[in-house]
Amino acid sequence: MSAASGRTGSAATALARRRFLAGAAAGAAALTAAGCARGDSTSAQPGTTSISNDNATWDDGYRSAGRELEKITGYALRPLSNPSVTSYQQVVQMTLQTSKATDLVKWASGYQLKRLARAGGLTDLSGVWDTYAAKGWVRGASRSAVSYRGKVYGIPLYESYYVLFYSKPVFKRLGLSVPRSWAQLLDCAEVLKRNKITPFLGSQSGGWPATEWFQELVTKVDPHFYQKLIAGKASYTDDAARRAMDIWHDFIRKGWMTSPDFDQARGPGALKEGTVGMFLHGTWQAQGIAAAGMKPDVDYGAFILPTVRDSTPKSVIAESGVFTVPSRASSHEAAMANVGSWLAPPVQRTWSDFLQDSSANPKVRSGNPVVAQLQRDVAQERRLPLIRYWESSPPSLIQGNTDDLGGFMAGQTSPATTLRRMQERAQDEWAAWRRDEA
Amino acid sequence: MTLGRVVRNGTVAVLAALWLVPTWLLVVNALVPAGSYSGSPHWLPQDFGLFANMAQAWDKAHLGPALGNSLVYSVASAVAAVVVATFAAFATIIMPVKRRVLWFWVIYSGTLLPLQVFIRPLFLSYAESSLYDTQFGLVLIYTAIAIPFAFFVMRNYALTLPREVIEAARMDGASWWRVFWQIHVPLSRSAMIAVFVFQFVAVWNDLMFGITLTTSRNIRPVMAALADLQGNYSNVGPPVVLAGALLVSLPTLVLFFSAQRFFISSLRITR
Amino acid sequence: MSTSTTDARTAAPDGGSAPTPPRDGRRTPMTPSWRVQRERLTAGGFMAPAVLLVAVFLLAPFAWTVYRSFFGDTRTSPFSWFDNYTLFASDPALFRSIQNTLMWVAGTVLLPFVLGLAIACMTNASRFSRLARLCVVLPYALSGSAVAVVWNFMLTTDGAVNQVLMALNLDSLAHGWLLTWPGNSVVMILANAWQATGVAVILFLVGLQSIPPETLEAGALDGAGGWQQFRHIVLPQLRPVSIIVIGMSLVNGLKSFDLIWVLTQGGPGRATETLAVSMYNETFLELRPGAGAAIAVVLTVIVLAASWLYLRRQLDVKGE
Repeated sequence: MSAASGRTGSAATALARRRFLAGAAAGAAALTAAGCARGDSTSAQPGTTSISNDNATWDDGYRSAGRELEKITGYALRPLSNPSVTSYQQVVQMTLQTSKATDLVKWASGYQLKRLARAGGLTDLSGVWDTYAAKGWVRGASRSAVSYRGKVYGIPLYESYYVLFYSKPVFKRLGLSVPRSWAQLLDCAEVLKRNKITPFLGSQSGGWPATEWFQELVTKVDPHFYQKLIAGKASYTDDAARRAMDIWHDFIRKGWMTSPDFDQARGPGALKEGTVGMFLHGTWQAQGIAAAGMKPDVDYGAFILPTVRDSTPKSVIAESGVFTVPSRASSHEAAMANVGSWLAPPVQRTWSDFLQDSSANPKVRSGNPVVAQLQRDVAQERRLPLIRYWESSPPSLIQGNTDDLGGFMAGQTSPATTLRRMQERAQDEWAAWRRDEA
Repeated sequence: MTLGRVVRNGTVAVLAALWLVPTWLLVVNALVPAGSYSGSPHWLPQDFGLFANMAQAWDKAHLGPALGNSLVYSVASAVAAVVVATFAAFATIIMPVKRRVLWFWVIYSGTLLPLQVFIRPLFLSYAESSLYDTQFGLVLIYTAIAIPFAFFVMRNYALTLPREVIEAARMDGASWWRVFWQIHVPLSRSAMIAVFVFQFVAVWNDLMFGITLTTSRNIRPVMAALADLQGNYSNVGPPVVLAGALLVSLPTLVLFFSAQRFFISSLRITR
Repeated sequence: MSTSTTDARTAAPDGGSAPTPPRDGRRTPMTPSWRVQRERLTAGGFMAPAVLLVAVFLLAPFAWTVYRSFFGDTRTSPFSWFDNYTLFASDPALFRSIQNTLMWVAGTVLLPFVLGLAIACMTNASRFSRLARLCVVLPYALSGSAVAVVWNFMLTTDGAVNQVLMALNLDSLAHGWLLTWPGNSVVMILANAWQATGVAVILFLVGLQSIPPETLEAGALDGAGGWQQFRHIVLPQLRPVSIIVIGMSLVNGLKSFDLIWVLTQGGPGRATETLAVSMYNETFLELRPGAGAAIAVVLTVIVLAASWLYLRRQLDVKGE
């Protein structure tokens, strides 16, 4: 019995059901119109400043740091997070032009910030910066990374170093110690490899991680070359870049790197299980390692990659996120007050304890012994702080070069071809950036 | 005949088994207690940590209100889309309309467009018109994206319906409105239910509009909330993500089960 | 009045050309023209909600995108004619993107259609069949995040597929499934079929319902075997549904985005991008909205052309 022809005959009996159907549709429509809620976070709320960020796991940290801020300024923090980084960036760029902007916006430093500032809609924070500088709560050297055309647009939100995390029990079991020189590093890798442990975690999944080993190896070959390279004043085809890529290529060929599709979210677990020896990442990863049940200084340690030659100047890659204040923020005054007290030691104490990372305020020592040790190392060795590659040049250039590095990791292109392509793009994109600036 | 049946059942069994492998992995790994996950997929269930994982996902991602929101969006948008699409299908197939091919393409073209680039114009107009971060705004966009495909299905289904009944009713002086509700809708019931199920699932599983056009917890749909567990800096581990994903897939699974009787062929092909 | 409906019906089967509306009074002298007007108004009322919603929420943003594609991507966004469209000639990544899109279309049209038809027709009301069918339909109900995690489990270099191959001593077959082209596109197409076949199964089941059993019984009396019954009786009657399934797969294949985005983001080295992913990357990652808009316009034109070529003959099935 076909459903269709069966229904036709009984048209009369189905009248009630039709009435019901029509009623249900009308009811649903009415319910929708009447029961429609409006977002409770987009309107201004007294006593708080909203902060948009792309990392929901930090929400609790903002709240507890906000409680400290409230004691100073009278305004707490109300985090609004967007789980997708790409979507977050779009939404921020679009909201700056509308009345829907949040009071504070988390953003990256360097050229990412310059590009956002260039589009307009951000508040000039030079005054706030100067007050901080007078108190010694910011590093003078980072000013250029947070300013555009001489004006400061971002206040450092956190500061992380790029380091190699390792498992202390695994190193102990194999009789390894923290490598102090390049030769020791290679030796360490060989021992790990012999014991069926992949020495280094390197991945291109998620996009930007493809730059981690590139920036690390180039800076450990020649930090001054890196500075020129990211300023567009040196070529990607120069010797130093080529040497770095050859080292990397060699590591890959020896099976020292994880496969390029390794999911970094599994990095802490892999360290713990002893399937991966060293995990190159920002120190903000400390929080994730803690979540995997590893204790600092007991279960894991961290060190900065040694330089390729002993005579090479020592350096460290630093990553710094910033707070910006949209000029159309609904609680602009409160936002300025909070930005002006963000780096105050009591706030930073709470915040860096939450992150288990270093604070952007150099006077606040990290509560995490591993990170505190790294801070001492950076200070004692007078390591040259270098901006992370991701923020170091015009965003379109970085994005394209990151894709090329990902292709290189997957074995699509040789070191020479990869570098040649990166250089071609650098020429085009720097020209475009300078044209736009003119 | 018997050989044919063996071959047929064998093929079905192999296909079903192949299909089951990823689903099996999904379930087994959602069972692994979050703390004892080793970093590579498990094949066999060991301990039972499913409820603990689900509870963790529920708390961390604030799934409660988000589930309620998604239920409203999915039901409201799917019902609205089905009704509106059936209206349009009825008009273009049964009623005397000029340029029906043109109208078909006007509505159907909505499904041909790559939605990802519309985020910017939609966001800006939502911000202007204060539809941004409201439930009504989301219902509107979800309804709009559901209509073209719903229309396509309902229209093709309407073509297969017997027309004599409608003609007879019109001869008797019934209005189009009456014909639609009393004859057309009951005849199209199974297609309408199928379309409802599709659109419910599509709206339920949407992430893009959910994270772009809303920001408050009391508005966010469930996939946007769940994505908090999977963000770039997330640290809850795959078992919790999978348990959360299973949890939020339950409503769609229940819907499938309960709608299944409408899909099962009442027809037996003799072999 | 009945004349007008009959008219409309006879007009319907003649394919793409606009049907002749029942407008001239000569053939329907009994119907005053104001009644025809009223009929049209009523029909307009039935169509208006659908047309309005689609126009405001989908066609208007598209018009904006077309407009945007004629402007450059420098800071001042000057009018640049067709400059953004020349990208198709100069960017090798877009060439790869077109290749991938073609692979996706082929895979998305063929696999769910064939598998969906097979499963819908080969299973019946028995308990085993229903269970098997459920296995195939289930993935469709799963959320994108679950699918992403599970297929990452399956396909990464240290994932489940390679685990199985190693266990079977087939080490030589184990490799990075998502790392080398064209294998990475192929496995993602298979993963997509895993999720998309469920829809096809359901649609075919709905289609099977509308086949009157008498036609099959008549066929059986004539001595037609199972396969012949299927080919000559079932398949022709499934045409309306087949058109939906193919039409839908064609569009979905051309617009493939979600699964690629969660598994590879178009990488490594832009090797797995489809046009939809390229469009997204150009717009939001490379920050070239003009170029992205141009890709969106080209993609839309391709989808529109493909759908039109396919559907213009199929739109009116009843007459055949």
